[in-house]
Amino acid sequence: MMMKQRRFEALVDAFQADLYRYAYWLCHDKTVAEDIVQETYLRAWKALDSLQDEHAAKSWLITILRRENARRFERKQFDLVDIDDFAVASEDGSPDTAIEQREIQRHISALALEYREPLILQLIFGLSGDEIATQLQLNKNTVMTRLFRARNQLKDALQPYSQQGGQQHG
Amino acid sequence: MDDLTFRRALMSSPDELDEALRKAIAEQPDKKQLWQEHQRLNEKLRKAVCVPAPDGMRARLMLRQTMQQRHRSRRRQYWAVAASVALVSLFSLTYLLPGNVNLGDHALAHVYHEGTAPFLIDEQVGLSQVNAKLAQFSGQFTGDIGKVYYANLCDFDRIKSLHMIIDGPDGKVSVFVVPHQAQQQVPAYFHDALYTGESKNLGHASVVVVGKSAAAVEQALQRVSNQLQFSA
Repeated sequence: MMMKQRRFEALVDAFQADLYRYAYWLCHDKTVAEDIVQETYLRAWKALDSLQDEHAAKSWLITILRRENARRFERKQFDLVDIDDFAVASEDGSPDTAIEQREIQRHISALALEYREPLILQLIFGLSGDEIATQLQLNKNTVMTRLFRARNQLKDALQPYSQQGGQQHG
Repeated sequence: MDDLTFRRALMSSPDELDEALRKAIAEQPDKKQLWQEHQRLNEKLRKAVCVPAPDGMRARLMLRQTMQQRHRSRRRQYWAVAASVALVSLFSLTYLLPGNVNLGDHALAHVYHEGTAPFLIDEQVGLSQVNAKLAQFSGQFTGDIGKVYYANLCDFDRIKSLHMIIDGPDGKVSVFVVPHQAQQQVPAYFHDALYTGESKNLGHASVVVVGKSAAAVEQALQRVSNQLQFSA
């Protein structure tokens, strides 16, 4: 039991923050995101014995989280949070960066889920195209196309900021 | 590598650079610049998605897991208690229902249960009185079985039986005449630290004698069984 407890704590320490971020970008709600993470870890604890390979822990937890998120929709369709209402604390102190980051977050949130989810998996967990394809049960070309479109939309939306940043640093 | 393919590759996965991409970046300054732009954009995106996890979430996760574990172990305890109750019930049922228990053990338990009371009284029970009780099992003593201090029909492992205290060569002994029921086991010999017992199967019933010495028990058993007859 102690061994199982230690494994569980290691999984919490290693992935809780990233899982929360992933959940947050799926649901756009801090409370709901934490609930999803709680449910994910509860499921993980119950099924911990089935996790044989520690290297598979990340994708195992992502799978559980996706299932928990889907379950949430089976239970109740939450109202989408208005994008303007959500504010995410910046980890960078500079006000300009904070404003820019908020703008980026706003645009990421505005992406369709089919573009947003692979992008988040790539940015947060560093998953490769193949790994995202496996996780989302899509073929790799589809994933790459969606990633391209996600970035393309963001790039276009953020053009003024990029130019501003370029001028500042140039 | 043409420009469109290059851009497309950078836009979809700027961290997964294959050999052709790396070569293009190394050899063509405009592609290197493009790559650096994408790296900067990607870094901004990465920072933007790294929203901070709520304070105390780790503690809450651990608490929830601990509570769950406790809940489960409680549930296990409930199950254990339920299982124990079921087990005790099963044993009680076995004990209460006739025939499934070892009658030797029951004879000893009966002697302990009644304690010294039957041994202290002398009801001077006559043979006819004993036979009147035995008639219920269609049995009778055909001859003298010695002094009978006490005779009563009592519940013996849920079987109505005759319980007597009679004289033995070196003190009183307990005698049970137990009509046979299905599946009952009557060991020929049994004992514990204090008492010893012996039984004899007479067809319709068993005679079980419990006393403190094996010799007294054997002698009493012989005496009683020799005189006991059943009409049916």
